[in-house]
Amino acid sequence: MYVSYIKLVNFRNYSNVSFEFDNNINYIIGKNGKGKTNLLESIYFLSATRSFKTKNQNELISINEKKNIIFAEIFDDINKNEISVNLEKNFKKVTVNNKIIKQSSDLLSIFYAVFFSENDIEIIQGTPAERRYYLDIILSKIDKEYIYSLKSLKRLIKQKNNILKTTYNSEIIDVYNTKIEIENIKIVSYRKNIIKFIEEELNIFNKSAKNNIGKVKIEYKQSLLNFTEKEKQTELNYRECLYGAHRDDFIIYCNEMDAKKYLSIGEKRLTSLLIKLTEVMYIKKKKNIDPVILIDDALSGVDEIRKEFFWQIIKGNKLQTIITDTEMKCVDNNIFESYKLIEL
Amino acid sequence: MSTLDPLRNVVFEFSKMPGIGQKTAQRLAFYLLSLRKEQIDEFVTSVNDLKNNVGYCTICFHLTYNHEHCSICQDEKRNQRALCIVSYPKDVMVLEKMNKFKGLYHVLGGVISPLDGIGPEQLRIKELIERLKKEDVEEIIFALSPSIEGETTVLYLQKLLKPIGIKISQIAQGIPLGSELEWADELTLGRAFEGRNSL
Repeated sequence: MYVSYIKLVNFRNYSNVSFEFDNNINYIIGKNGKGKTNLLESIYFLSATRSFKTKNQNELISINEKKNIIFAEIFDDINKNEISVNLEKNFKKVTVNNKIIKQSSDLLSIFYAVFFSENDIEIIQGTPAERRYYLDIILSKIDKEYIYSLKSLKRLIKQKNNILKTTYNSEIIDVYNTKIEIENIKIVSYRKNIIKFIEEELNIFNKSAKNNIGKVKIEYKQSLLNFTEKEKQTELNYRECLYGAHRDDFIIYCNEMDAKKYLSIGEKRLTSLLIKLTEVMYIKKKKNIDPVILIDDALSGVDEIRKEFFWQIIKGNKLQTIITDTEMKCVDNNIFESYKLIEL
Repeated sequence: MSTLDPLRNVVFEFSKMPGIGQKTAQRLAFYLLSLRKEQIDEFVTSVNDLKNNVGYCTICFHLTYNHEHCSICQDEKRNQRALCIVSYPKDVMVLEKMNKFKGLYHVLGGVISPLDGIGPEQLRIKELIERLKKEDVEEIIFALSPSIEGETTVLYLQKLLKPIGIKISQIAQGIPLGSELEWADELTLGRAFEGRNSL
């Protein structure tokens, strides 16, 4: 799939503009503050119906304006779809071919964008919560059963926390523990699956280049197998739910060294971008759709050889890719034979 | 006292009711104002009757009118060996419309939800246990909503009732009749598959 046309009205710094994109490589060049990221944000919004920058959608409406519109034409192998997003203060309407879409997951098969940015480095060096969030977002898009389990677990934890903090009742705790164990098994197995996939794909990347991150191993750190007296006692002491998928984490090892601790910033950045690339592969495999790749000035601090390695993979993917940069460095290096240049 | 005060009072009373906002409350108040005296009397009588004469059945805690026991518990033709457990009286009404289940009910009065301050003590579980000691029940059927709280309550009771050794079952989850498969969401479909019947 690819986005061929987008029109923005009152979206951040754009009062009324439209852009056309090529179905291969698109290069957006502009000085700081020109709105490169904003343009990518609008495209990403069509896919996820939320922003990667903010949780407050009101920020997306230009200052002094009441509502905005994002309108886009999306092509896949056979069809042309028109997606339109209307935002007003605390109100959102998403339509596809003039039909209102209620669940954002229904948009997935029509338009899926993967966004690459500097912040992806948090997948490696962020807090466990940020790392879990990354897995949860992908898995939620792929499987509704996962969303349900995740929501159930969250609710169970909330209810159980309440008992732990107020009137402890061992029988009720046991019931909650049983329910938590059931959801926990499901969630963990989903996560372990995707982690295995990421690990395998990363090692395939590795084989194709010498100067790289080394053999990758990802270990899922599971906090709960089942509740024994020991876990129950600890939770009672701290009066908090301490065991379950909501406390899990994963460690990435590159050449048997913990990536979080031992990789340099540039290496971490490249690794995180490669992990994002595995997301592209995962979507392709699981949902049989070709996502659109958005890359927002993501490679700062990565050396030239590794940059070229990354761009070669992008090139080999043959997916629509929209890249932003302040200068035309990547183009100067003649990595891409053809591209569409958009100057802001 | 202004002439509008009685109207305001009625609007205020209506707006306290669930699902009714200021505007609807006002509309209802004006409607009452437009009624004839007899109609109003009838309305007031029925509300009074509701409050004074409708209570909870002392056996199953379903609603009962003018009697200690509800019409279902009084009906001797019903199967005394099957007991269906529900959360609220309105669930009994829904199940009775079905006209398939001929056994008795037990209304818990809610589901376990610590966040709302509802534990087993707040539900009519003690009464259920007492009932099972006295009555000759052979099967217990759970018909609670498939929410987290509903499922937790079922699990709690399941553990509690297991030692008694009565057959315990739960109503199936699946696709509504008359609807097309393609409209069912994946989760419901998944549950329907898990609970499939052999032919």
